[in-house]
Amino acid sequence: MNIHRPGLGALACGSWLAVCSTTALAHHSAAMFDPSRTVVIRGTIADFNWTNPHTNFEVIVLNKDGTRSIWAVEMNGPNNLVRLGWTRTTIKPGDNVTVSLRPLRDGTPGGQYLSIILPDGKYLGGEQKRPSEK
Amino acid sequence: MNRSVACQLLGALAALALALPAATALAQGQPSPGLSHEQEEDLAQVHDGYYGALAPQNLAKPRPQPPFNLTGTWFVNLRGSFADFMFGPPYPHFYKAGQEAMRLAAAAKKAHQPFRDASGECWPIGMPMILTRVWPINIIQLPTAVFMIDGFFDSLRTIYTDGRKHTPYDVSVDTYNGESIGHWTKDALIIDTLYFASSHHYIDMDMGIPISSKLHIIERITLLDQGHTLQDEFTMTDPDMWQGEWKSTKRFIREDYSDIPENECLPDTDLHLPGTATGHAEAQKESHIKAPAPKP
Repeated sequence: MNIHRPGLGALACGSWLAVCSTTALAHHSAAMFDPSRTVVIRGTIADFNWTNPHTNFEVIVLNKDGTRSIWAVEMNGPNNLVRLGWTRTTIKPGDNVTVSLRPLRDGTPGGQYLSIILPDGKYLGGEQKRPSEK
Repeated sequence: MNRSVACQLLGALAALALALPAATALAQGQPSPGLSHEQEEDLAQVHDGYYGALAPQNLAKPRPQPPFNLTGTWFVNLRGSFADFMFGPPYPHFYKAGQEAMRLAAAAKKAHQPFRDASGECWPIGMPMILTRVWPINIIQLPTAVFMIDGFFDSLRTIYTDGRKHTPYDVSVDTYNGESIGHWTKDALIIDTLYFASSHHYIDMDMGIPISSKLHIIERITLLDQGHTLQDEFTMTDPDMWQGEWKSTKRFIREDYSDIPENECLPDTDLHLPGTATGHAEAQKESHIKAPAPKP
C-alpha cells in the first residue's frame, strides 16, 4: 500500500495548521478530519474539479493487497490555491502524484489536502519546504 | 361541491385558459402571445404602491446624508482568535431546544462527529452566521438600501433604508437572512431584522443552536479606525428559544484588493467532499474502496 504515516515532524501544514481546517469551516464542519495526523498517499489522479467552495480531486491508490482505493481529497477554493501556485491545469487525470493530507478519522479513504508532489517533482503546499527537507 | 373546491377548480380552469393558447401556439411553431400588463407585474414582483429600492424616483428623493459609506469588500476579523467567528460563548440561558443542542453538540464533539452541519449539506446558513464565514463580503450602499452579497454561496442580504416599514406579518415570507429595515443615526446604521426561516437554521458551527421564526436581530453598525474597521453589534432575541438578549460584537476588515467569486452549492457539490455527510458516504462506497485500475 502506497500510504505512509509520517510523524508530526513531517506535518506539511505547519504554521497554517489552524488555517488549513478553517476554510472547511466556511462551508462545512471539519469534525470528520483528524488534525493530529498526516497521511501521505501515492497514486494516480482520477478526477480534478477546480471550483468553489472547495476544489477537490481523487487519487487511485494501489493497496498492499493488490486492490485499489479511490481517495477523495478536498482543498480550499481556487483563489486560495492560486496563492500557493495552483492553476486549473496543475493536475489532470492520469498524473502520478504524492499527496499529504489530514485523513478522515474513521479510516475511509479521504482527507483534507495539505501538500502535493507533482509528476515533475515540483512541490506545492502550505510550507516553503518539503517535509523531507526539514 | 363546496366553495373551496369550486374556487380551486375555477383557478385551475383560469390557469389553463391562460396557458393553453401559448402552449398551442408553441406546439404549432407560432410566436407565443406576450404577457399582459397584469401578468408582467405578477412575474416581476411589483409592489403595490411603493417604489423599489433601485427606482430612480426613490434614489432621487432628498434624504439626510448618512454618517459614513459602507461600500467595499469586507472580511470578518479573526486576527485575535479564529474562534471569534462564533457567536458564543457566552450563551444566553437556553430553553429546552437549546439545552438539548448543547448536550448533543458535546456528545458529537466527543465522538469527533459534525453536528447539525446544515450548511455543509447546502442549506442556506442564514443570519447571523452568514456574516462570519471565511469568505469576503461585498457591501454596496445606496441612499435607499445597503446590499450585502456574501462570497459564501453568493448569499444576498438587503437592508432597506428608504423609510419603508416591515412587511405586515400576514403577507411576510420567512427567509434565511430575514427582512432587514435600517435607519441612520448620527453615527450608526441601526438594522432591525425579522421573519426568519427556521428549518435547518442554526447558530454556531457544530453547536447547532436552533432558532425559531420569532428570532429578532437588532444590529448597530459603526465604522472605526478611519473607516478600515466595520463593527457590528448584534442583539438577538428569540422568546421561544432563549431568555432575554443574546449579544455579540463582530468586526470586519476592509479588503480593498478583494472581490467575491460566484460560488454555488450545487446538487453534487458535496459528492466530492469527504468531510460532508454526502461526500463521506460516497467515499465509503464499494466503487471507492475497491476501485478499478487507472486508465492508461
